Amino acid sequence: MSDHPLAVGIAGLRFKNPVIPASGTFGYGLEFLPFLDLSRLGGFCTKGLSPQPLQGNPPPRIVETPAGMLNAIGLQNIGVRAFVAEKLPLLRAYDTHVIANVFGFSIEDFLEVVAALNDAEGVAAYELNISCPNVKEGGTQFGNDPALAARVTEAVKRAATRPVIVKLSPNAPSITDVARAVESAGADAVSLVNTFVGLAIDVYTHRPRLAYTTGGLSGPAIRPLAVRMVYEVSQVISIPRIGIGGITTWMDALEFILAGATAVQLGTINYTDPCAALRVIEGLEAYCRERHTTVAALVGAFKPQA
Amino acid sequence: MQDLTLTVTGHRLFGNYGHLTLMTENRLRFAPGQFAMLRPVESLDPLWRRAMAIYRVRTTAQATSVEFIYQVLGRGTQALRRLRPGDAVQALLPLGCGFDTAPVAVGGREALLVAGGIGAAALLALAEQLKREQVPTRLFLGGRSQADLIGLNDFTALGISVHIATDDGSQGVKGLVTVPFERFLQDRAEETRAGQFVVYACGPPPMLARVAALTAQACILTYVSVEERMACGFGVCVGCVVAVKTHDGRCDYRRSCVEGPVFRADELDWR
Repeated sequence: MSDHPLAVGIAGLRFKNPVIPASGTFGYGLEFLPFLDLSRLGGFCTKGLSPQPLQGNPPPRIVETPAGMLNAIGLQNIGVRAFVAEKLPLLRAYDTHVIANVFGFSIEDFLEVVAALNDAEGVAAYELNISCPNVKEGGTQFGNDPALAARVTEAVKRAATRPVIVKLSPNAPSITDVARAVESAGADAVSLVNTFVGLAIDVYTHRPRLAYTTGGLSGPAIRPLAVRMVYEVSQVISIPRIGIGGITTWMDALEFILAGATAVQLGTINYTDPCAALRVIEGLEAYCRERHTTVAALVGAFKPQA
Repeated sequence: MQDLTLTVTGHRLFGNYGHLTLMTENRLRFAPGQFAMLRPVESLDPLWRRAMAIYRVRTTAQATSVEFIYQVLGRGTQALRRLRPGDAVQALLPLGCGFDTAPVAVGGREALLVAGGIGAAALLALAEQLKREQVPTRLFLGGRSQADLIGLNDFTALGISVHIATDDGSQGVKGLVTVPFERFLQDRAEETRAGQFVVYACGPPPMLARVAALTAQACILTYVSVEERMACGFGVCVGCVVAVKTHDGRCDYRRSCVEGPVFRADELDWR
């Protein structure tokens, strides 16, 4: 799979480059058509899809924090059936991997979403969202417990006709334990990390700055934490890792790759710079060209000791 | 919608406000009430762009100038405040749905504009368009003090009647802008009942809620432009939602960046 310096393989899929916009920051892909050709991307992750449309949390849902933001959107989405009927047909025109982010409040919900997607043409893989901190049930309850994470992974894996990527929570007591558990349960890859639970308080009203009280922290502020977690998880599992956490430049992306990620996801930066993914791809291309290397050769090339 | 690098050609600071003028060689078409997401080029700290109403656009054969008036409120607007002529600004624009002037452009109706504080910046382009469409227009302009009457000279230059209110009484009526507005509706009760007015409002949430309550009572078609925290401005973060009433009386959420920022007041859930 090293036909092109940026090409990587994950779960039998060839990605033309390792740059994948992250779920919840890229809508259903179509919103970015005014800014970029989706065919340039290795792939992208859809907004989390649930069996039924979700209304989400009351506002305020977002607040800016130092070098980052907190969000408590609550997975507002159009539902998997509307995605298949209205969005997916338009996405088939693009040569990129559409990764459907799957969310549910129960294992049955996850299976219902996967069943609705299995027959749909144009989905490359599933990403299981067992790590959303902003819904009362279903999110972290699966992602924080290795046994529950394994159960949902196993059930989805049995039903899925496509590779299954499990998105890990950094809020789990041990992210490496969850990573090991989902690998044993048959996951094809993991993506990490989702957001860190945070809290911002309005000092004038003494109230939380988000209606949901807590929110998920993302953006450059979390990057070193996320790089460390990708490194640790890479030491204990052999399925591919997709690194996520505050990437804004190609150098940030490369840190994750060196730490052991085969690919990366870009999240919060898509809000500020909708063309960020293209800049990262171009930067990685230049780096590989200048150093006569490939992304595949750089995965895990980090040298902790001199 | 385009993501353009514009050049600062003018920046006038007054009190706690800035009047920023940007220039581009690109052609720009926009509707009054639309907005832009701005950040100094290369700056990712603070992380988000800042949402700004487009105050005024002027087009020549060679170039387009876009003006914004903003209030310095936090780190993002402080960063904008440091911009100097020649600096580059990254601007995503035009965004959102602007004001609909079709309902007021028929049957000799009159447009009533209600602006509180920096909210006035979202209404000047509307006032300009209403003038072009020869719609009689009246502005109710409120601010904390005389120095907070945003755009007063530009509105006055359009030749429209302006009713002023300031919290401290330094100019016009002392009190909130809704005071002269309410009095006007009472004085003109007959025309109000006859459906002569369409209201366009932008200002702080309590002002908008009061305007919506007054006009709901008087059955006046009313448009409000809301200001919510926005991370992206083009519909993907779903952070800037406002509550709307659905047909079956439940509540749902709409993105103020895409479905708004202008909404019909009777669509919003004001609770």
